[in-house]
Amino acid sequence: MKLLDIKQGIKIRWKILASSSMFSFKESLAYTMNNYGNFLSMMVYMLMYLVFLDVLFGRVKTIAGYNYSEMLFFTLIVQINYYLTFVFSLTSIDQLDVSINTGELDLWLSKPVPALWYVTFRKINLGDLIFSAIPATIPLIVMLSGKWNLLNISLGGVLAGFVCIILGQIIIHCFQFIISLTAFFTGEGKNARNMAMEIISFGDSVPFEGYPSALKVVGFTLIPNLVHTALSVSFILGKSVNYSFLLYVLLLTLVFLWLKTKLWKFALSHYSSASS
Amino acid sequence: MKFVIYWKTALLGFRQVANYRTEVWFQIIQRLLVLGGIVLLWSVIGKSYDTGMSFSQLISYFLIANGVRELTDGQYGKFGSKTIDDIKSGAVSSVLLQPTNTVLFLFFKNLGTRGVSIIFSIINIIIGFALIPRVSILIYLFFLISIITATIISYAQSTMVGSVAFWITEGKGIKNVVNHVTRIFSGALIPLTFFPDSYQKFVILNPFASYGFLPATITQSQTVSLSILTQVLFSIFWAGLFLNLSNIMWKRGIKHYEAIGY
Repeated sequence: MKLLDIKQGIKIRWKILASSSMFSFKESLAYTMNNYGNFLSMMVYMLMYLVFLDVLFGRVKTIAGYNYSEMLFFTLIVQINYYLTFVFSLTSIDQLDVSINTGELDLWLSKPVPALWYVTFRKINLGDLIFSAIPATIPLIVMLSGKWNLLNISLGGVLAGFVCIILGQIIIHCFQFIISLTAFFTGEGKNARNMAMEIISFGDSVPFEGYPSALKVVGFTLIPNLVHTALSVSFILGKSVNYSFLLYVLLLTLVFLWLKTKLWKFALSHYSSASS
Repeated sequence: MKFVIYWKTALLGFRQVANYRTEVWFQIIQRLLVLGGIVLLWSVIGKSYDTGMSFSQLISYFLIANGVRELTDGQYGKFGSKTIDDIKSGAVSSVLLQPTNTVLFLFFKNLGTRGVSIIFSIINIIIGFALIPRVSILIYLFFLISIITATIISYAQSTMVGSVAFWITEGKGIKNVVNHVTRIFSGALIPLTFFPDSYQKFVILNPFASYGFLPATITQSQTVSLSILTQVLFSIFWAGLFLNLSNIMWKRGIKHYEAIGY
């Protein structure tokens, strides 16, 4: 009986994931002008950031021990992380706030679907990933193309970095989600979400080695903004080789997942519907 | 009498936003983080490169540059963003029927909702001034002129960006593009003196330098040099040009506007 429940649970979660992705993709195809707008914005952002790096490295040799090629690679990981957050997490969290405001959340709470799973994955912007994010990264990849051999990349470092990106993404998603739950109590969550986004991208121009110790402690505990980019790049480029730290990151991920579930239940118990 | 209407609109907008107190705090923390990120980056750069400024001068530069950019709405261009929304949703129709200047009315409506940002930016500027040696009255006067021209340029830029919505409904992408460009060329992220010497002079005279680089550089100077005077004159020129262009664009755009049910 329990095994059957688990199977059904997995089945319905997969269905939600697949249909959310499909619906969001069709939606992005319907609003093509949005795609052009997003692409243009991401492309110009990328170009402007490259101008910034170029100008900066015209005067400066290294930033926290990272040379120009390493900073370009660092920027690539920053961008990948931003797109992952934007595609898999940000839009769904944005919509949670609207659902609370309008009372639309009632509809999903009354349906026989896992509500937390649904609000987490209700919108996966695959269209933005394909039409905007990937093309906008091309200039950066072109600039990096002749510089790969200048980077100190090892297989172990890449694997550790990859694990950090995945776990870091889960951690920052949970963090953003927890902050956005304040909408249950305040009725409005836009600035809370913006603040959460600013926290997770805080210092995304600064490599791990440039952070003061106090900020490193905060960035690995209460405000976990150092795992997905700073630490992952440090691993990939062989700057940090203490792989035992990965165990701590795994533990941190589990803690944040647990916190997300607990605080979601707590927020729901204080939810007063706005729809009736 | 007319100005009272605009002022009351701004006050109403501020009151509406101030009702969500927790949100106000989140907004303040967000602004502090943006500034903190820039300070962190430059403190790291300062360790390996002589920027030609002391640490307090550097902090003062970024506090004033980002403060002015925020004060004049040059940072996020929220007025442009709101205008796009109003045109898209048709909400601009009711403003068009009023016996007021539509763009000015929309500007003041948005100004009130930015009340918290404005207060925060003024605090930044005051702290920025406190970190540098006392400056002369003339420097204050030039600083004031640069703020006025920056406000006009930002107002005109947002009007032009907003007017795009008359032709294409999804103008937010254009707004973001402009914001990304101004972020670099305002000097709020990197002082424009870092640009290569070969084209630095042209970059310094760009219209967006008025949002950050110009006011921050004025405050770092003890006297009004020829370079500052040239930059201020260019800033006045850009303000006049942008204002005229924005008027033309708005007037042309409004002819394309269609609304149902109003």
